[in-house]
This record gives sequence, structure tokens and C-alpha cells, in this order.
Amino acid sequence: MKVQIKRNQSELEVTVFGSLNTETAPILEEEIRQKWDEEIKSVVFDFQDLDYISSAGLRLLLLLSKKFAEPKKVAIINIKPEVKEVFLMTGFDAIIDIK
Amino acid sequence: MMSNCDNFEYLTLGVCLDNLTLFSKFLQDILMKHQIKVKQISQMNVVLDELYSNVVNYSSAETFTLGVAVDHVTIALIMKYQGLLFDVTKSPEPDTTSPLAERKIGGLGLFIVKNTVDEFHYCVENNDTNVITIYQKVEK
Repeated sequence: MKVQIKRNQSELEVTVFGSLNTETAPILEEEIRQKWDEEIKSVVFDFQDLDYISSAGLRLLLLLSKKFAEPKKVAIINIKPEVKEVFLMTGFDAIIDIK
Repeated sequence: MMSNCDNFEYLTLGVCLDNLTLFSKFLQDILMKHQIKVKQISQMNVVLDELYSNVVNYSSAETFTLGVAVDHVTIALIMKYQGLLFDVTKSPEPDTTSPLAERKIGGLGLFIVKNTVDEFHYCVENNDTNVITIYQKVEK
């Protein structure tokens, strides 16, 4: 997995390449933690180059969403159909804004 | 689902998180050799990730064997490991509807497996070995 993180005012833009799984989710969590501050009000993930996500990746998205204490502050753009299936299956589309 | 898969290839390695990459590459190489669609390779990788991470986190097993076979209609996976005996097909249903504040992550992995594959079986071999068998219809 590779990751690019950009700050756009109060939004964090995270582009993930490869897979978000048991091995890579903790790495991404640490990268985001290093860029984190209290001014951040939303996070957008670009999943155009994400091949698959497992429950370890979902766990990270849930933890981020809970930081904002309200749903849909974490968003996903450019999601592939097979990755979106996992979000629909687990009800994560109710808490993550899938654009 | 009836499967006549008999061309299993096996990989056995020690149980540690780092070996997920090697198991994943082994699975992926076999599926690619049989021209399985990228979408389905991704799904099978998720299945492997969920089941193998469970073994790493909870089983205390020392080794893990992954068997993969593909014929023109079916992908078959066999996973064997010792340690704690636990029927992964009987995990409780996770929380998929609660509001954000109450949402819990536990149990999602096995739920994803159950909802991804066509058949998901568990048995105990020789009184000490967990055996998981999975069948998935090949997407044309």
C-alpha cells in the first residue's frame, strides 16, 4: 500500500494505492495520526486505486468517523464497485459518505 | 455447490501477520493463472485476509496451510491450522445498523466472508485441526 495525504484547509485528503487490509490499515492509521490536529473537520478518501478493503480498513474508517461524532464527515470518492459492495454489505454506507 | 476441483496447490507457513502478503501472493498468482477476473481476485483476497487475521489474532496456531484449486466453474480454498478449535461459520451476527456512536466493529470480518462466498464450511480433523473449506463460483 502507498498513501498520499494532503491538507486542504480543514479537510484531509487521503489517496490510497493498493489494498487496505490487516497489514496495511495500521500503517495508514499511523500516517493519518501524524497529520492529525483538532482543526480537521472532515476526511476524504480517494479510492480510485484501492484494490480491496477488509474489516481492518473499515475499523479505521469507523474510528475516524467517531472522532467527528457525526456521520458522513468521512467521505469516499472514486470507489470501485467491488469495494463499494463491502460498504453496502456492512451498513457502512449509513455512516460514510460514498460519493 | 458441487466441485470437482482436484488440482489443489498448497502453501504452509508460520502464523504471523507478515506472512499474509505471501499467502495473498500465492492465492493471487493461482487465480491469475486461471484468468479469474480482477474483481473476484479482490473478493478472495478479502476472504483470505479476514480468515488469516483471525488465525493470527485468536488461534495460537503455529502454522497455517492454504490450499487453492480452480476449475472452469469453481474456486476452492482450504485452510488448515491447529491451536484453538473454533467454528468460524458460527460467529454471531455483527452490528450493521446502529447509529455511529453505538456502532461496533467486532465480527464484521467473518460476516463479510459469509456474505461474499457461495459456500463456507468448517470441520475439525484428527481432533486437533481446524479445517475451513470455501467454494466460490467462477464469474464469467
